[in-house]
Amino acid sequence: MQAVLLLAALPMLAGAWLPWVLLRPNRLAPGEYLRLPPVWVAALLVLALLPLAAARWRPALTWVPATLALLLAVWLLGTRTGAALVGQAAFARASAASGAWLTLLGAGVALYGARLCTRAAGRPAWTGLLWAAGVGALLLNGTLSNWSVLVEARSEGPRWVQELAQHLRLVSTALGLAVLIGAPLAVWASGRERVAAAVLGVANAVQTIPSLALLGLLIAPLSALANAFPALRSAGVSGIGVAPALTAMTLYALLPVLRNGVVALLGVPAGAVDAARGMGMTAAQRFWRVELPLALPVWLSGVRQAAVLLVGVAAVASLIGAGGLGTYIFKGLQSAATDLILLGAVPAALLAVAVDAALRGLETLLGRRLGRAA
Amino acid sequence: MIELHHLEKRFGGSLAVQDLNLIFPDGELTALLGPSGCGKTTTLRMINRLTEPSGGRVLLGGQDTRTLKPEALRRGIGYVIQQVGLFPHLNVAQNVATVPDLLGRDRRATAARVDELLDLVGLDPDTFRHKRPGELSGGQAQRVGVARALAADPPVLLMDEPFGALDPLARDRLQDAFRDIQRRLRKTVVMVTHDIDEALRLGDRVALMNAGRLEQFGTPDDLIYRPVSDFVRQFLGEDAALRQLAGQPVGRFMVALHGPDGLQPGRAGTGGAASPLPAVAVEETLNARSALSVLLREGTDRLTVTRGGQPVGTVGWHDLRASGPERP
Repeated sequence: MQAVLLLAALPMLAGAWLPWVLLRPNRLAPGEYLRLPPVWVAALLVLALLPLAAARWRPALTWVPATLALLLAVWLLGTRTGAALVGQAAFARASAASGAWLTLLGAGVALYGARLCTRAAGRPAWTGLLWAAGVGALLLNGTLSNWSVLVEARSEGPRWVQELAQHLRLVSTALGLAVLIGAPLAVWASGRERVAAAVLGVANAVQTIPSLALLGLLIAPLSALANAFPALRSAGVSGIGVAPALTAMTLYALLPVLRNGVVALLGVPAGAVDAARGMGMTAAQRFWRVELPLALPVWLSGVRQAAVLLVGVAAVASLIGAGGLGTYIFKGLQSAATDLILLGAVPAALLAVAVDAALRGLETLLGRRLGRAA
Repeated sequence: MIELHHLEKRFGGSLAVQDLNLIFPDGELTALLGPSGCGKTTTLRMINRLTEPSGGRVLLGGQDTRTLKPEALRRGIGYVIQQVGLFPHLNVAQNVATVPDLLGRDRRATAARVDELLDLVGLDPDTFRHKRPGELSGGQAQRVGVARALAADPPVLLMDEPFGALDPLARDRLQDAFRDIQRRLRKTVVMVTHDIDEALRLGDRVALMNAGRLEQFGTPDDLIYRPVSDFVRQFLGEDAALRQLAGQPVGRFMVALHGPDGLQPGRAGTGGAASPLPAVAVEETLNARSALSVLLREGTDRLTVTRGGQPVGTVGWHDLRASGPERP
């Protein structure tokens, strides 16, 4: 824990000295770097070291300085970008510079270290989430609204929400399809050694194809299909767009769903299955009452892996016109506009983390209820 | 009563069980004994059709088991296996209630039945009802396994090496507990075992199998004192008689004292009336093999048998041979 907190203090110490804000006359022009006023540098230096000290003497309270450090960093980012823009033209942009990023990184690591301290002290974990409430409040009350990424977000407004929704739609549809196809396939394959080997081999092979290549590979067959059957074309199938993206994403998600399904079903204790048979359960009763409940926690972790994978692949899918948050990433890359890239990349990363956390929670819950993680 | 008629099981080209004819009497425990690979487990699994016979018939209470749906047949037969096979995601009570639930029995009656069964197998219901299988020791888990098999009160119980995976101490205790349960319930039990001691100790009858065939079927005494083949003699070993004695308390063999006068009763073949009690005494719960060892060690012909320190009878060489071939 000390090591983690030391690792947290170093970027914060450096970040306090480095420039915090990059002010540019418009979003593409070069600009000037602004540093923090000495008072705030001092405050940040103190907050950088406090978690270390707290972990030494009051480990259960480490979360207090760590949370404060993060909230101060976010607040400073908001107020300093606001201050920089005073008297500037409407096109001027104030972005976060290296100091702000380093401090945020350090504060994040400090929060992680604080969580370890809290757990070691056996205290309830909710204190580790207070920072999220604080950041949420700062976002809502407009403190951050002058930060360039949010300025871009505001000008994109409803379109950004649409792309986010499209991203979620792509991920959930592909995941749903993968589960619908993969679950019966896993059940079927788990009882047959050769089938299982073949199915896993194919899914493995698909996984090794880079996502961009797979998307490219799908253009030709799908456009041929659409040309041969006009009915399919009117249903939205074509070489580019949502159809190839969903096809590729479903294929990608299939492997984790299948692999974990087969492993989970084979991992059900043989004794339990034999006992179930010997007590007169039908095949269906055996599956629903014994095999599925026992396989579910492991299986779900496959679904979680698939979901996280899909959040990433969906970003690439925008290249062939499927939409999603990837649109901003590629638009930003083309015009060298960092703020636009962040507008796509940060939410996509947060989405992956959120999906992972949500499904992990579900896994733990089920595991506990089903007696696995007892 | 379970009857096997010309039962046969073929796996590929080889016969695992051939022309097996056996009758398991009602209310008795029959041990299916034999070296590994002799077909005893296959035979057991053909009774509840976990393995379908290739030929022959199994009659359960006179009814051909092929006329029943396998699931219906199995719900009427208790089943205990070496791996125990408790469902790890369900608690003890839910595990025990499995078959009554499958049969659609009333929930409240089942809950009462579960408590009764946990009591029967020596587990306190209040302590164990809500535990998960993962929290139980091996012995406790198999006690739950036995309770689960008995839950729907089936007349027949099939047990496949039920105590095979336990450490010796737990196995002894569970064997004792199960013998008491069987004495009370009088189920028709078929127990597969490769453990000769277990077969001699628990079995009312023993069916010794070899290479898919029945070698001998009889009481433990029959097998020990009247083996029908060299294989039976060799399989039981030269110390079979001692092994059988080891499974029984010396109290079973003693000649009881008639009255509280402290005098030995007159007895044909062992000498005169009213001789004083032997000097060396053993408690009646001591196993008979140890009592025999005491006789050898002390170089004497008779021992006094005591209950709580009070003499209640005597025992000598001839008495320990009582189950042997030349009954005095």
